Amino acid sequence: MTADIRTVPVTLLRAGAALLGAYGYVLGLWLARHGLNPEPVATVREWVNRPLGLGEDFGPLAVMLLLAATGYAIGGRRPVRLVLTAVPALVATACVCFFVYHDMARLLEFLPLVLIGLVTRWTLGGTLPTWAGVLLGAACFGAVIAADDALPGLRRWWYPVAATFAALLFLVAVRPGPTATAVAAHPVTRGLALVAEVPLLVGSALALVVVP
Amino acid sequence: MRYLHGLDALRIVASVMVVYDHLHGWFASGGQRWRFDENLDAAVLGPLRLDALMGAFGICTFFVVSGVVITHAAFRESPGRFVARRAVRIVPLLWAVVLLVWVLAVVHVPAGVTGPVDVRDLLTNLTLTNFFVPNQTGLDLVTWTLAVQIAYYLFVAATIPLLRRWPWLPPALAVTVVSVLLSVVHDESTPATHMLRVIITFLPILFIGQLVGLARLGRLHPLAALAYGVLQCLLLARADMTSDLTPAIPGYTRMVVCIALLVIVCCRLDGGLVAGRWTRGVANRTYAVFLVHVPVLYVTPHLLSTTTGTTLAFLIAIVATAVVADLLYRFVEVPCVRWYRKWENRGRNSAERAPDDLAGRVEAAR
Repeated sequence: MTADIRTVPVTLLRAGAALLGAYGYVLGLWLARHGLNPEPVATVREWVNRPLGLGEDFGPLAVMLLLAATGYAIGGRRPVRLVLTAVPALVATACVCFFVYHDMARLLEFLPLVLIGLVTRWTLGGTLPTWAGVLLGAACFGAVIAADDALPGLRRWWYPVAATFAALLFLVAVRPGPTATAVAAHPVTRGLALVAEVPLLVGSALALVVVP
Repeated sequence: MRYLHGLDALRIVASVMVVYDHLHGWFASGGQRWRFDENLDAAVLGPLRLDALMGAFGICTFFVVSGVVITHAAFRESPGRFVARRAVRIVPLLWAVVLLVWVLAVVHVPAGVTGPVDVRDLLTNLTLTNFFVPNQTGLDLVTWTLAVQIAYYLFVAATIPLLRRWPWLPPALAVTVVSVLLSVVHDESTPATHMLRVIITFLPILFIGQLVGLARLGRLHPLAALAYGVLQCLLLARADMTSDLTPAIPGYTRMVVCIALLVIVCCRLDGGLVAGRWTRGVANRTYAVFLVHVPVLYVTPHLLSTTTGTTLAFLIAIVATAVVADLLYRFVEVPCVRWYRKWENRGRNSAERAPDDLAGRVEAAR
């Protein structure tokens, strides 16, 4: 089974977002709200999250990967399909910001990743010259940093670090090799990619139900 | 094998970061304010948690790039030739710079050398043993990175036969060796044990570069390379967590993972500015820049700042670094490599020479 090379990055990133979102906003959030820190999760936090500077059990990274994939996907769409592609991810992100964080200002740090995805698609497709793509991409990243600076309460979450990882993983994924293409074609990967927004929505629902 | 132009651009960026970090250090050590640095720190480096990492980022980038490029060389060269070529690439310039700095220190020109120096200091610095022996003055303190590089070269040379037959085996050995050494070398009370610990701590970065190189060459399945890469990253984290002294770089693991991803992205860059002659020319001089920039940064402001002011003195220092590096590249590095290649090819006709020898190119990689 093979996958269309244009959809491989989107599939891989959405699948990754689904896994990380489930870990962060379902498992991690539930454990945090109950004050639990079981050994496997504690080990991952000690050996992976802390050294990498990725907090909240990879939750924000999941959101950013999903949004970057969304931006990349809508870059090749007509207006109606563009809305249909973008809306689920944007709604899921907004739900996380509202129900989990009670802070819609976090959208300012998440949404530039959509633009990074979009600009990358246009640059690779030749719509934008490379120099313009690089400048615009850097400006989008600058927007994440500017938002972090403008909202002092968010600085302790290191969102620009998560955005750095998201952008780098995205840039690696947009030029997939044969192995990445084969992984993207696998039914499990495709299944995860289909439901990438679900963990964020489940996490939002959990946040409503579980008293902090 | 396609030339990796993107890595040339990355080497230039890494070089700029290392020089910038030492410039920052010079201002800080003199208690002087550098407004550009303060603004950059506040606007970019702080939010990215890179404020204390510029120099380390540059050095680790060099390590990963070296790991990638040296892996390509390992498939072309016999162990003996591999060691000889690496030696010819790094030793002549090292000796030239160390000797120059020693002479400056002897005549009391401040070149970043603390304390008096004697012939023993010269000899230990020429052989990089100053890092292992107590009470030795370092003449060019950035050369500690060469000790790490040499350890990596020796490992690669010893495992070339294995690499060609079972490419998965040297990475497995690398993980095992680093893991065992991290358990064994934990006392850093002497210069020798401290330096050993430094080498062990930074070797995983070169091995990560090796994995990227092996995956790109198709010698190792990407998923296997990823698995080994995860193990090396865990060893980075372990090294960081089990020592108070080494690597003394906040965010060490995070930084290396970002660099590895960046190297993968840059391996795919081609064309435009990245593939230009200017880029390649500057990239070829990054080793010279790396070795001379600290002595030049110290000497030039000392000579000039009383008459020109600090800012202009530093601008001149940057130009001086570029000029000195270029001269050393043209009159030390390139002649030595060309001489060695001629000696290597003595008695052979053009049909027997390796393709890169026919082109007469100076090897771009250390």
